[in-house]
Amino acid sequence: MATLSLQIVTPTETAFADTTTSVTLPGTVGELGILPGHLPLMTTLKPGTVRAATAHGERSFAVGFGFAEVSGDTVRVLVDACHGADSIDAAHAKAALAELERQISTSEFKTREELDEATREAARTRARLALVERATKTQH
Amino acid sequence: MPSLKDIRNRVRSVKNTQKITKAMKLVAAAKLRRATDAVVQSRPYARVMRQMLASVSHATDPSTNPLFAAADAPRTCLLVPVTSDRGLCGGFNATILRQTTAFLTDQAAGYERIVVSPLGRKGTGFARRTQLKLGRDLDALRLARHADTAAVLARQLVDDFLNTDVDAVFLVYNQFVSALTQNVVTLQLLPLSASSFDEVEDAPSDFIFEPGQQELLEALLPKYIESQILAALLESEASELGARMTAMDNATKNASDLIERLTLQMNRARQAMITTELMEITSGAEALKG
Repeated sequence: MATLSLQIVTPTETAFADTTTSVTLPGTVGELGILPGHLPLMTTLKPGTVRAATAHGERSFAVGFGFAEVSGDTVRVLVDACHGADSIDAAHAKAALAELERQISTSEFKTREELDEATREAARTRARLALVERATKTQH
Repeated sequence: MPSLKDIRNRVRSVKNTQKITKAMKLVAAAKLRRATDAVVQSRPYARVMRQMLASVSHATDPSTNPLFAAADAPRTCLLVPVTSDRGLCGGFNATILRQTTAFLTDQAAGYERIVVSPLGRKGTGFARRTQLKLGRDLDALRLARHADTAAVLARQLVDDFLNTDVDAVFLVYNQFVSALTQNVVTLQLLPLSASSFDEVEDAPSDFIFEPGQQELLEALLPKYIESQILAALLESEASELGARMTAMDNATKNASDLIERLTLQMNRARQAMITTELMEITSGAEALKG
């Protein structure tokens, strides 16, 4: 069976590197399903879930902003943050998101950049929460 | 000849110093492991980033992007030496600052104005002492995590490059080779040169780009600069710890030598004292016999 080799890389680590049979990416323009033999593609990513079908079942990761390149039988995902479902603390993420949203709504930022960064962080946190919630739902 | 008591005091003081240098060496060694791990872990990101940029620049001419635009007659240049906050790390800061000074004298002809914005307390102090032309205080932008610092710095430097009269940005930092050796590197951060992505293998040229090539390039390039800054920060930290470990190891060894020499001196002084006392006693006895 044709496979894809998937690499998820963040500035601080290689979060995932394995062969997969299909990959779903949260592209900025829309969700992308990648199967072996896909045309060369390059896209920007928005915070969301990367799903990969591996030999050991489906693996999901909550990713932040980044890029993906599909070329030949390799998929390279370059993101600023990547978390597996088991490494996310739902309560902690929820609290962090609430705090960020409060800060954004009361606009307690000195500069535009801080506001932008908070907005980005909120999006990343939302992606993490979405992944955890989905993971717990499937467990029950 | 110093008295026995003086020598004893010196031995004690050297021993105390040795304890400190030994502890610093151990701490640096432990941190160094983590720092080198971080350097190694960050390399795939930088590599994949270059590959992606190579693929994009294959398909579209990147030189139209403003970040590639080299001024016809570059006039102002921003130099960012990456130094440490703390001393006691051998030649770590000295080499960086020497390189900075060399850059100022060498390149002075090419640029009308070289502005220095050091990172790290040692660099800031140096710049103030030597009264260099100081640029924006980048040091104040540093955050707890290197990744965050790199992001903030990248945004700031790109902004300076695009919106102020800065025509080029250079980083001077220590590249980690081993605990014993660090290489001083002067890296041109901006403007980017298209040739740096040329070494790519047979990348397919018929990519689908989402959203468009230009948008993708515009998103990728700042991230590329960020990854280069991050790499420099990580390398610099590993180098600092390596340099400190080596320096403190030498200091500990020197202290051992000194203690040995002083102990010898101390024993000799004690023996001399005993001999004198004996002589006095025997000569006193002789005199009594008379």
